[in-house]
Amino acid sequence: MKKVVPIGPYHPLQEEPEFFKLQVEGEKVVGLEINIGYNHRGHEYISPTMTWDQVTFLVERICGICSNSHPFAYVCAVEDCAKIEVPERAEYIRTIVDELQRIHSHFLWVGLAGHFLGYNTVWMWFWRYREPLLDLLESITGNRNHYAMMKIGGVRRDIKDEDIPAIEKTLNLLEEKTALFTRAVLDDPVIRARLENVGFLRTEDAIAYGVLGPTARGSGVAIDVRKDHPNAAYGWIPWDMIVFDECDLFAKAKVRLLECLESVKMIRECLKRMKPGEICAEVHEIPPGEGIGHIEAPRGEVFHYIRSDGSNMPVRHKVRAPSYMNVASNVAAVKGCTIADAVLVLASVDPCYCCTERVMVVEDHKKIGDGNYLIQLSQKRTETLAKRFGDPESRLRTFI
Amino acid sequence: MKKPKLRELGEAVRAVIRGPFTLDFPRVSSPVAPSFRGIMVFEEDKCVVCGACAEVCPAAARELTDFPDRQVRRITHHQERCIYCGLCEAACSWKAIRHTEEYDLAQLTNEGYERSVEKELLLCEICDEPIATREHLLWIAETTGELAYANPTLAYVLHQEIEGVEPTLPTGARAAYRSDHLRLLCPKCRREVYLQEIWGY
Repeated sequence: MKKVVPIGPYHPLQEEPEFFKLQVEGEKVVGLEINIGYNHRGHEYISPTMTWDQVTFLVERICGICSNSHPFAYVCAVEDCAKIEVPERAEYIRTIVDELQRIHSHFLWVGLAGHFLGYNTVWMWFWRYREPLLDLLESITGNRNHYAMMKIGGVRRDIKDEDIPAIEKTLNLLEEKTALFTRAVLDDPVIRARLENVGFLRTEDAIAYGVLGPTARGSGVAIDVRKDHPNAAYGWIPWDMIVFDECDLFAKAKVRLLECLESVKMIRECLKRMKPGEICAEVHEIPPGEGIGHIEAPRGEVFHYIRSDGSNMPVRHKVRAPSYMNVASNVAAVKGCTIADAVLVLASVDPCYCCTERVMVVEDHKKIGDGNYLIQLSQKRTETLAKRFGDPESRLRTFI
Repeated sequence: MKKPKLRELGEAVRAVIRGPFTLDFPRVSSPVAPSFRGIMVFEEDKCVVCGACAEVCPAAARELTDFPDRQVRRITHHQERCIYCGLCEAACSWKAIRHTEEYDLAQLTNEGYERSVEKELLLCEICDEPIATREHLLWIAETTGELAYANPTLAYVLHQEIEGVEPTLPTGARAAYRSDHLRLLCPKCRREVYLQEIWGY
């Protein structure tokens, strides 16, 4: 007999607004229904009311953990639209800040995973050594989070030469401790027993759900924007993509832990290759047109689309966060687990609901609009637009 | 399984000797880096109330208000709305806004978060529209150098500043003067004066 165990609408553990209905038979989970959309942020609506430079700070507040990724993707989109050449030093600084942020995000996840497992020592270790990292980010950018580093055409602050020894020192500490804890976590029999062969997301499922980031790389799908479409300095420095094809939670944890070490290596390489020079290109105006920017956030690909009409504000701004794809894959991953494991599986994609949440339509206390409804809505809109811009000349006008 | 545990023992011993990593916060505050963007301060004597910071602020934490009856322009910084991005600090040409290393904002009432600077506002002689603050006009006159004398409003303000008295128009039959000389005019009225009074359009 099927029974439903509700988790949410306010997740007691992850403290974010989402609603999972676990369909269980005894201890075993046989199905999952995901409801998200409890949190309306209105970022895409506010964005066209702000100037190009101000939107950078708005998108920075989409996510508190990967608060460098959203502005990074946004400035890439604007630079794509305006065809701006970014100075070489700025590209290296962007890479450094982005990689530092990746380490701190992965540390946060591993710590939380340890906490969810009941292994609070792991939590304490990782969060303890996350502190020097946040202090380092504070000395480089001026804040522990919300770095305000990205600017259209470059970066806002330079990394001073006298700061580099401090960075090297923190990197050495981080590398030593990450290596130690990675081995400690990977060798631990209890953690292995809890994570191995749990929460299978098969490679076919991962491709079918279109998962991104470490979730995909733990399932044997070798995708990484840094390799596939390298922006900033990722194309210039040597680094390896970490991919495991065990498809279980342990593989996802391994991907994240080893990526931290890889990031340390990348930051070292960037510091070595960085030459003195300009940190920001001169930007005069954003011409009419559209641009896309996508970069690899700690959780996967962040995608930003902007359209400009030549004024000082965007006319359309679209954001897609990686959790949007990753959370849906829980349906496949959670099947066959016990309820105790389901908690871990649901957290394993490192979900970030505040990034993902857009809007939910409710009528008479009932959620309306499934996938088919949205497709119909979209097709209807295309039809009306096709009627309005029937003749090719006016269609051309709208695109120019 | 003994070996891995031994390896982590060093970390545990170190933690026992060093004690907790966290600080006893309200009594001991955490040190911050010199580049930290903390609570903002205004330097009142440097600020000319030009409104550049209000223009760039993404969070609308700056409010520029004119009081034409009192001839005062006021800039207010709402600390509770500030997102500490540092754009206003970068936009200020006078270095009148600064981030400090203070970060403790918590208090029991919601008073005292606002800081404001008021400066004398000059109004147009004809339409009473606000032009700018006196200090702002003086700064423009200073930066533009001798070109400032091409603009009657700037010339008027400079004259007042240098001579310390109200400028008077030259008198006498052969005195060369234009009616837009040495008057406090907003850009719109200046054009009108120039076209109507001089050219008669």
